[in-house]
Amino acid sequence: MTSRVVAAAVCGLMLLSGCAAPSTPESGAITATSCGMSLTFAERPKRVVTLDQTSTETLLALGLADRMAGTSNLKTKVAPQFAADYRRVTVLSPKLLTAEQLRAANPDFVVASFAEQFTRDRVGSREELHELGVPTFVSAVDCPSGDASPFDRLHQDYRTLGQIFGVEERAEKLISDQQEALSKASSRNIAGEPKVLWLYSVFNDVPYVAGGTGIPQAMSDLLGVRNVFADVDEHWPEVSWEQVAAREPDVIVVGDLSERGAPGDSADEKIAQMRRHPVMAQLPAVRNNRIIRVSGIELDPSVRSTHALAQVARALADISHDL
Amino acid sequence: MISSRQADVRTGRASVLPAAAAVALLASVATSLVIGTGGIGYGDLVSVIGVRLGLPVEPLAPLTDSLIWQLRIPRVLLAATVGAALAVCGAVLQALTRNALADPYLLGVSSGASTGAVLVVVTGIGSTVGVTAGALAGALSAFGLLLLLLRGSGLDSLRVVLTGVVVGQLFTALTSLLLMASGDADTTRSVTYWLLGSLASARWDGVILCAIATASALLVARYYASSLDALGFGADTAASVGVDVRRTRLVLLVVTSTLTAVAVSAVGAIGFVGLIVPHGVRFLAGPLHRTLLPYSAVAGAVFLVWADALARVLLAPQEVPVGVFTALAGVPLFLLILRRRGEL
Amino acid sequence: MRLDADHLTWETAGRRILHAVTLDVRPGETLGIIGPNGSGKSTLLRCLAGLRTPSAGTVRYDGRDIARFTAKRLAHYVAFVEQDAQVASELRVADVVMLGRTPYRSPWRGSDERDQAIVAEELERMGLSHLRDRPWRGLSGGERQRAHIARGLAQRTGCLLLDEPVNHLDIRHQLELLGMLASSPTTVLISLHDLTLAARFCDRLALLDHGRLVALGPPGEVLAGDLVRAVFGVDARLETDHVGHPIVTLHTVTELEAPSAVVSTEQGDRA
Repeated sequence: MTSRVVAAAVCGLMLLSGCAAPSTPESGAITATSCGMSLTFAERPKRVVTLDQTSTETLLALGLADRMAGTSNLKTKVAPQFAADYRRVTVLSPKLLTAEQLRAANPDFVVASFAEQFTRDRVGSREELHELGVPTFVSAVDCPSGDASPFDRLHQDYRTLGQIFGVEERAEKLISDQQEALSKASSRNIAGEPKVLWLYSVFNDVPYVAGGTGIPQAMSDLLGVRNVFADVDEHWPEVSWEQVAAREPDVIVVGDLSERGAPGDSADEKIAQMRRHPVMAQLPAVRNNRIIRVSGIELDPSVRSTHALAQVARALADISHDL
Repeated sequence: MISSRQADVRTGRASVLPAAAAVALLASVATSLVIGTGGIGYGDLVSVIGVRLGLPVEPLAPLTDSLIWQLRIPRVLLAATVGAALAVCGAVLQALTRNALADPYLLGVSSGASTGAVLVVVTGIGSTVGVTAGALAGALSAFGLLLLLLRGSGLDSLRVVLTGVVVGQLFTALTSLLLMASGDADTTRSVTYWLLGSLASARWDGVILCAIATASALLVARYYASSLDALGFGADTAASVGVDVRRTRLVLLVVTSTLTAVAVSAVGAIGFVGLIVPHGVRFLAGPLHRTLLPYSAVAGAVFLVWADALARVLLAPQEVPVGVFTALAGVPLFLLILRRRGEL
Repeated sequence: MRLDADHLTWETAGRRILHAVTLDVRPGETLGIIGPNGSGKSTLLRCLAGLRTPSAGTVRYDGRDIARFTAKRLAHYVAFVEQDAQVASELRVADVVMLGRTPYRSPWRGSDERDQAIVAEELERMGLSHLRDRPWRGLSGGERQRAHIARGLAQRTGCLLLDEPVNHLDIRHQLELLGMLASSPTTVLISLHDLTLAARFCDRLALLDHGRLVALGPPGEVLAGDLVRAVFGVDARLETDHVGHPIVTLHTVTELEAPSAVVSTEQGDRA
């Protein structure tokens, strides 16, 4: 009964804010909308399969380990707070799940952060799965519509999933925790408006940096700092060291992907490359080691992003006063 | 004495080979159907097919049924048809260009397919179907350019090969340019995966398209079988035994390029099948195209069906892109064939 | 079969290789084409065989212009044997000879008994029966040449054109082949370097110089005049050996301009 009431309340809120809302009609079937497709559940999903690490961690954060039939596609280690729950769930594949593996796992719901998981060469299209009676969920973050910030979109995911699984209270708790982390970070005393470079990875000596559409941009806005590549209309554009140097960042945030294990993935290696580069080495940010290390995966939108945000906010509060 | 014994071996082979080829193909397809995820057995296959035939059998759970009917069967059949297509293209192009190293990707068609696919991915207009259509359009554009550059020439072997290489380089450069311009690591990754060649996206639509294209191309190529034999002795000798050299070259270039385009757009560029299979078949069934072409089709089908079956299970639960696997298996096989033929 | 060419001209890359060649070959005749390297012998044969489209002029077989023939129909009239087919084919010798039956076979049908019989006959004629199942790659130059000629013969055309057919053959095979061609009822055009063989086996000779036909007539006429000296830069004398066959003795012009040296050589030979 209480869950119905909360659901109705949440539903009302969502309708007010113009978002597609899950609902529980009289028949008892649960309906929801995810990235342009309507989902219908005869009953609460009990055998959900996740297709990427961020969706896995979202469901674990909502305490849904016992409803999960399997996970796949782990990029790095799961966050320590989820490790115990993660071990309770079957790992269907450490890498990308195939269409056959997904069907063999007999899921009643499939959740992904990225729409690209639902292609024919991966698990099959969303339409194919819906025809088989298996609803699919794609994170609002990867759903191009409106101009809500990535954090708001994540919160929308938690609400929708909370409704589908009937764990609305946990969803609201998670959202309020996240909101609290956001306000705490934004209240840090950062002097001036420092120029920040968000460096995700370096591949073949080509830096991949945060552009104006990803979550680092949302973090920059929240903290009141300037992302030096805000003008590039992509998540992770590929730029050159010369372009980076020309934009004279005051501070560099470096994503550490050492658990991914490819050469050049660790923050140390990326920093060493900058120190070796004749132009980059002259930048004050490099010379004075104004470099902040965060976990690379936390620079992708997920329940863990607030962790990186807090680290960056704390470090910037220190550094900015020395600029 | 030696020659008569060779003749006996040949007649012996001639009677055994058709049966052996049919058995090998059927057995490979049947075995491959039950290899992979989900513990599929022959009983399940019977149920799935029986339901479609309206037989009174117990239907499987929808997801298991989908695994077999929507994924496994089309995938194995696509492997067979694409394998056949690539091998036939290889055999035809090796004769047409009089170059033992010719393969379906020689003429720049696959580079064109890549450019088309990347264009669709980068501009983001496409679902998977869009990517396939883009690849087909790209492959046909590359081939159109090739024909334009060869216009007015006698389509002589060296000129075709060199022009094909130039067209291929042009489209490779265009692909790089598109990837640079998009500058998105995710796009690059997804395109790279596609370029390696994979049968993971196999569905019935691709099977039907490829099967029609392969069967038609095999018929056309078989029609020109004696012409191909004669072309092995050069254009003048071929023409003097009544081969319309220019028309034969044109028709077969159009057919192989179109077939390559269809295959590449369905599964990406899968290497080595078109190169090694015809060489192996020449060794077993002789060099006459009347037999070489159909046996190459069967051998190519068997080869790719097995390569894909191994690609599915070798590193399970991960899948090796089958293009990587054909290259891994193809290099030693190619060396072995060259050795046996005393060319290395 | 009668073959005639009318003002046949062929140009490539702006160069004129054949200049308005007009000639007429009578049914059953053996016509030898002679001339120095680059005089256009091979090109003339290829134009006559319909393998090159002339820039101007016409080629007719039994009065029919070949310009309107399909490749297959043309192959019923004339067979062409290339000079030096250095190819790495894996076909068996019998399969190569069977190529000569291509113009008579439907694309879908294999060879029939008649084709097999013809192939066996031509293999026998060229002394290749014992090699019939050998792969082409393993043959010697002479064996390949004979196999090619057998292929041309298997085509059973009224006209046979051969470009330097004897240059890889040993002497016995040279004599046997040319004797067989000369006595066959087929119209034969054959380019040759060896003027003695040309004089002995050809009914008439056509002398080419820089793409022009400068002489056409019986060997005695063509070889006797000053033309050979003008075209080849050598002096040729047509003589007769002890059994009555023609024999051509050749001397460079410088030898003739220094008569003392020639005399001393001839004396040495006699001694």
